[in-house]
Amino acid sequence: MIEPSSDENGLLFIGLPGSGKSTFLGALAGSIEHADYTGRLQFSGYPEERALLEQLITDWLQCNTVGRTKGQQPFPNTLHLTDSETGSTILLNVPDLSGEIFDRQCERRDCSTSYVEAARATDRVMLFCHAGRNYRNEPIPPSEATDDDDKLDQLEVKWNPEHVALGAKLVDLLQMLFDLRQELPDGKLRIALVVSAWDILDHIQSLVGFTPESFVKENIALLYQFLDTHRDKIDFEFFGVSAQGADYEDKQARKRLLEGNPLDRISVVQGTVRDRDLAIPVKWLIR
Amino acid sequence: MSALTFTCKQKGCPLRSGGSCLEGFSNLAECPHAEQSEASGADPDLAAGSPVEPHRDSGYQFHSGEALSYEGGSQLLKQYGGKVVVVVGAQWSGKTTLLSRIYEEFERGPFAGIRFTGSKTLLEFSRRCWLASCGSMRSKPDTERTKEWETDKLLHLQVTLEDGPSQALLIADVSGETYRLATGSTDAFRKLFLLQRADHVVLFLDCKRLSDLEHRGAVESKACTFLRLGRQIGFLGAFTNLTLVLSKWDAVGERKDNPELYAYIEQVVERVKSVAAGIGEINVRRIAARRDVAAPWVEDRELSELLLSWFKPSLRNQLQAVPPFSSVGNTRRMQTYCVTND
Repeated sequence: MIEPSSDENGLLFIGLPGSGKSTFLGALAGSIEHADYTGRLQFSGYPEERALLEQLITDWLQCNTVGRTKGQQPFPNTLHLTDSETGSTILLNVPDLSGEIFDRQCERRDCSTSYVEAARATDRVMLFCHAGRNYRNEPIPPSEATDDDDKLDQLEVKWNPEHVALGAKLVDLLQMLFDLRQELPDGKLRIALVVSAWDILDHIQSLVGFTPESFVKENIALLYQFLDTHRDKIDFEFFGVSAQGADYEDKQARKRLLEGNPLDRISVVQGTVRDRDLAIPVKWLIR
Repeated sequence: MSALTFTCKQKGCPLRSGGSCLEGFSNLAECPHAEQSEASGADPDLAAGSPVEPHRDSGYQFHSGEALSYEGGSQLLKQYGGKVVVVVGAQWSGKTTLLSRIYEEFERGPFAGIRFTGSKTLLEFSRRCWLASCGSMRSKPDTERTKEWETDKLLHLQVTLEDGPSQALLIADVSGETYRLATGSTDAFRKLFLLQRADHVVLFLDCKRLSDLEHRGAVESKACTFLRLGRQIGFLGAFTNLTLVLSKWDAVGERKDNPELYAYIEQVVERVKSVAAGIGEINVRRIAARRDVAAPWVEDRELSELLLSWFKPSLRNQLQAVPPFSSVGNTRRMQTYCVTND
């Protein structure tokens, strides 16, 4: 794992499978390279192995759903960017685009040496979660409970660590990050929590007070409480990010996106402010 | 030379992640699911064709996520301070359901003014809540039974009250089987030495059984025996904060429809309290722990008040003379566990 040089701002990407890391990276890279991009970020040098990155950019441009990225190596674990306004350089460290290693961390309770190094090399983290997931294991509603259980309960699914609710897994990942960093000198961790696929919440975004933070507070309450009670150790901010722009299964919406400028698909919400630059969470992390 | 070790064929067994045998075998050679192997990185998941790829190296081993040993709990108390709660009662009386419900409340947000700040036992909570979740595909909610060997284990919630400091809440969920054995033998009772260390003891009286003419006598009798033995051995006393939980309160029905049952339960409570005379503080809570129980006579505040009561200052610290831990026999273990709370 490449560590950031002393003058480089390292950012660690963390997220469970399907949390939106690939789409974010494809859209970030695609928008930076787009002729109409007016933001501050640019590549400081292309990674030598960039086949998967190119694929992610192409998928984003063509409105194709990004397939599961498991096993599609090689992906450059690191991307070097420059903030053209300040001249500062940024190292995006992506230990595992698929998110499998984070699942494994929660289930098998270990991690590789390279992840240990990556976790200790920076105090800035981009944590991804998907707006369309259920972060609790919902209890069986009383109305659906029946007493005819002899036959039905033969279908019972035995618990295994995969069944830990996503909200608890996210807390677990952060607790593990704390464990890895416990011997480092005191210093606050900075976490940009990216709620991906923010566009699927369009129908409720007009509600007064609905923000990425209120979404997390309501839907991933365990994680929110964890962050809220560690303010002495963590600076955090919430971002609602829509990189795709719409659900590609919706043919009309997809056609509309293809007809327009790809940069217009992007939406980043911080608090109640909406912007079109995916670099906003990155810039918040390195400010 | 490689050391001999055990892995498990059974998915979900804590042994696979370095924990204890799911079936409760202390001698792993006796467990039908355990497999002896050389400790050379053999991985049951890989053998089963799991898609999880092995790490080339295992750079860091995290906490197991399973229930904590006393030593593990003691470390947390030393680091953060906190409370020890022992939950006891007969099988099926609703102990694990209540603990699962408290965890589920935190999954929904702060509860009773208390905020969740972490847990070393997230896997264990998940396992206990699983059979009541839709994902289990069960037709009606159930709760994973506490195994007898799990009596020596602790659940952990790290919490803050209002803006206070983070503190550890350690909960021993004593299995119904252990409770049965303890009320049948003084020797077995002595194994519950954690009672003497507890800041709070919660004794469950199952109201579904108290509503049943056949079973009601045994519920009261066991509870009284438990309290008598506890007082006699010295595990319960003036230093004990005891709550009698009238569990499955939804089963008793409306008072106006069941005045005799209400009167009977009140008499049982009075008799149990009289046996508990000499215990520092006794409170009674009427609780239906299953979520969404639609019974107007069930008051949700009873659960939040129970949880809040666990954080009251320990009676132990207010007393001049408290029986020495060394009197319980397992001195070394208790010394390990002797930590100051408040």
